[in-house]
Amino acid sequence: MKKISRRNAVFRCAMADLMHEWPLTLCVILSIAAILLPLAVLYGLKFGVISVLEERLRNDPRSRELRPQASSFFKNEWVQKWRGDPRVAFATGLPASLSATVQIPVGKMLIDSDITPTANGDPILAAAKVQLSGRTECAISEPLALQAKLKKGDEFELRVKRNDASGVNQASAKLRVGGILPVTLCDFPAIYAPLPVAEGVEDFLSGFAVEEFAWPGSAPLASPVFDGALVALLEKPQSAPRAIPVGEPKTPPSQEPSSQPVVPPVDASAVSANAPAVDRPVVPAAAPNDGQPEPKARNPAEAQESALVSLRLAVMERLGTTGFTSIKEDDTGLREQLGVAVEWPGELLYLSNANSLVDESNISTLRSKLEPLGLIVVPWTLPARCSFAPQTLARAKATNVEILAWSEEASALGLAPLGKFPSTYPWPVLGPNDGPAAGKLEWAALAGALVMDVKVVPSQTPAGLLWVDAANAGLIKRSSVRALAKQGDRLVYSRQGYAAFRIAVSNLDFVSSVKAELESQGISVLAETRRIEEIKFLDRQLGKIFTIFAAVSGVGAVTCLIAIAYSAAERKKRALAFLQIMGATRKQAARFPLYQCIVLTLCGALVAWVGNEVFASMVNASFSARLERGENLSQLPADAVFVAVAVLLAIAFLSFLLMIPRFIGMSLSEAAREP
Amino acid sequence: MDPVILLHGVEAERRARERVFQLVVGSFEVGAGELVALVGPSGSGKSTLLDILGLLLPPSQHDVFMIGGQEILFKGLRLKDAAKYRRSIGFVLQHGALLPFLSVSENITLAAALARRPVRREDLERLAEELGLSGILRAKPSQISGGQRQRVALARALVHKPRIVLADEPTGSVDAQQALEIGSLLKETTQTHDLGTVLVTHDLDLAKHLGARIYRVYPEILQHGVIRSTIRTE
Repeated sequence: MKKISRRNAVFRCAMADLMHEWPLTLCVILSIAAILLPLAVLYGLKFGVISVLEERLRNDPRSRELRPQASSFFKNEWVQKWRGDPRVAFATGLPASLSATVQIPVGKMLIDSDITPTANGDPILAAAKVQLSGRTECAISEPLALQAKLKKGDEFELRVKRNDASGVNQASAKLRVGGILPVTLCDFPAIYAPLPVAEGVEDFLSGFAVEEFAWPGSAPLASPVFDGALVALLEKPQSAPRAIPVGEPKTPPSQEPSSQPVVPPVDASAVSANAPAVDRPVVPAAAPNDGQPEPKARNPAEAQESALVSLRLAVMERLGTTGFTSIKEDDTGLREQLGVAVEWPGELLYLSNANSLVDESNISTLRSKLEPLGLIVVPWTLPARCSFAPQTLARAKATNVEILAWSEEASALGLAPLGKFPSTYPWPVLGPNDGPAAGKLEWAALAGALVMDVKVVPSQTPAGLLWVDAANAGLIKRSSVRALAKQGDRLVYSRQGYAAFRIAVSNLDFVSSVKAELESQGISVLAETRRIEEIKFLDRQLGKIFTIFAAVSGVGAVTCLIAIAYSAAERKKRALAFLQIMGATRKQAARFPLYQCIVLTLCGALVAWVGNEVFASMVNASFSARLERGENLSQLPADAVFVAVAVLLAIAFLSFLLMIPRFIGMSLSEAAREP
Repeated sequence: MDPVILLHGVEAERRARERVFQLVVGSFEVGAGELVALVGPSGSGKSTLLDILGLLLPPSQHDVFMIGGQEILFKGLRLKDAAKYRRSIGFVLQHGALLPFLSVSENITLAAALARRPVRREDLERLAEELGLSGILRAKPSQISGGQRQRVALARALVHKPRIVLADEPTGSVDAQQALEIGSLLKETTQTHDLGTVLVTHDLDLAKHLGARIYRVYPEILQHGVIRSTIRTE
């Protein structure tokens, strides 16, 4: 015997009524399902298709990668800048020679393979769950692993071959397999190696030695550059001064042989910053006059002035192909600017290139043009700021020093102390008499601080000033404009940039914006933007179609539910009246149609969902051959189902509210007496 | 005998389609344990008085309106309060008026649940036995006879232990024998449960046979479409 409790009395009645009139209930449920099912199917298909396409794009890290269409030159800093971009997950330079393949020997066979620079953070490695450690661990593609019979943890030999003047040169390195990239990520033989390996391959193929792998080749030694050249408009000394090798004990001036030059050996006072050289070169006796008649005899001052003017003109005439484009005439400001510390009485010209630094070939050409005129060309660098850390102190305290370029010519003119700088390491420098004998010279270079050991030769150089051989001063200058690296006791060019790049964005949505930015820089890139845009377009279009369907179905659902609620109120007028006559409040009685509305809606939604699941399983089964594991061409996301149910319940409640006036206007006694 | 229903100077009006029914009740009184019959021709306003007594139709005017010993002031009466008062009344409607989707036992216990007076199983069984319903408690209304349906309606009216029972033509849809049985049962339960029962019927003989105090409804047509009914004791 069933009893009805007070708490669920109205709900039980509503449910019992639905059960009692089950054919009618079923019809209503099916009619709601008939409205919802096409909507669910359409949305399921839209979501499924777009999800599959998007997921494939998302799962394919190559779709987030951008590469240039053509080789160019991309500076390290440029690559670094992209690495710091919040949209970018990974960026690396791509060496130029990567079109040439490397080889992996397997028995007697050689397998050709591409090599691509990579690093942890590369989406391709992340997609394959590969983590590389060390400088020689790399990931290889599945095709290469199969051909070379390699597995994770194996070591293999990388072989590089180049043809140069000496014939075929071959080098090899041992690498370790840190992981294997599935064929879905890379379907050809390829090695994803750390950048230094890829750079090493490029350097070797370019003819350079690669120290890391002990591969033979030439060293990319850095060459000096200068800010300009000083030209002394005074007669060249009759005989060259005796050079004192740096480090050789100095002989006091009084002990110098009498046969020594017009310009005597520099003593302590002669090389001091404030003391001029003792004997000066004289103005050349004659300058070329290009067949002009001899001028009349003038006083010596006039004659000297005239000779100087002629010399200036001659210098200007000969600059044509030297690489020097600018001439500055002597004045106090110029000497101060150039760091010419000596009060040298002769006149100087400062030649430079307004747009760039000059190198040794420029200096050499200038010399060949001006030396016939009896002029001395002194390669010059503007004072360079360095820090000098003496080696003698236990805790060396660095001091700031200025570096000036020493050259034989400068020494001969008395602009620099007398001496000789052998090409040895540590670098010989002229320093103050009371200074330390050795130390480390450090300066800020373009690619970070550089440090070179120096051996100090005491001289009359004032504190805070060091004379470095012009070639080394030129290297310091070079390091300010181009990345140099210390390799043993030499400075070599380090890589300044790359021929190409790989940029992988962190999110598909960033591909377009990064591509646009690269293109605004004039770089044409290869990216999957078209595929991404096509999917987005498809999503938008299907979304529009779905919205139209949803709107039409929504109207249908609202109409249907209102009709259900209204008919429930109409048909159950008598039952509702009974409930109230028996003591139910109007609010309680009103729950009767509301409960029915909600239950019918939920049942209709459930039937629609089940129908969609059946449809989805059929669609997915029929496309299973073209779908990856876990992919569904038709699927309803859980959140969409919840939203749909919430919307339907809202519509059910709205329908109920629309029915309320009818319910309120009902006369209980009349309704109760209705047959 | 304290009256459980006491009406003085009550007037009500009901409009249906193009007709207006006016009901005038000079004095109407029902005591506890008393069966009162309200007789009159069809459409004379008997059920309208029942609606007024059941608080389903508010009177347009009243001097005294006491139900279950409580005076009710219709002015400002909330629906919630009307429902509360209604819980002290048991209704027996025409044709039984059972909910077809509930079983007999559910129909009976629903009334108790809505009146917030839960009924114990043994009380239900005792009531069913008293009204001869023991064998049909699990049946649906459609599976029982007209007389049984009226018995179920009576059980439903009594289950929450009301002080008043309003029976609207309970014998209208049964034969004379069953009508007599139902009438007798109604009288018996009125006395057993000390109820004030108002029986609306057009069958004066039945009312007399049951020994009920009789009120008559006298309708008169005032003008076209306006019927005025006055209720007086016989």
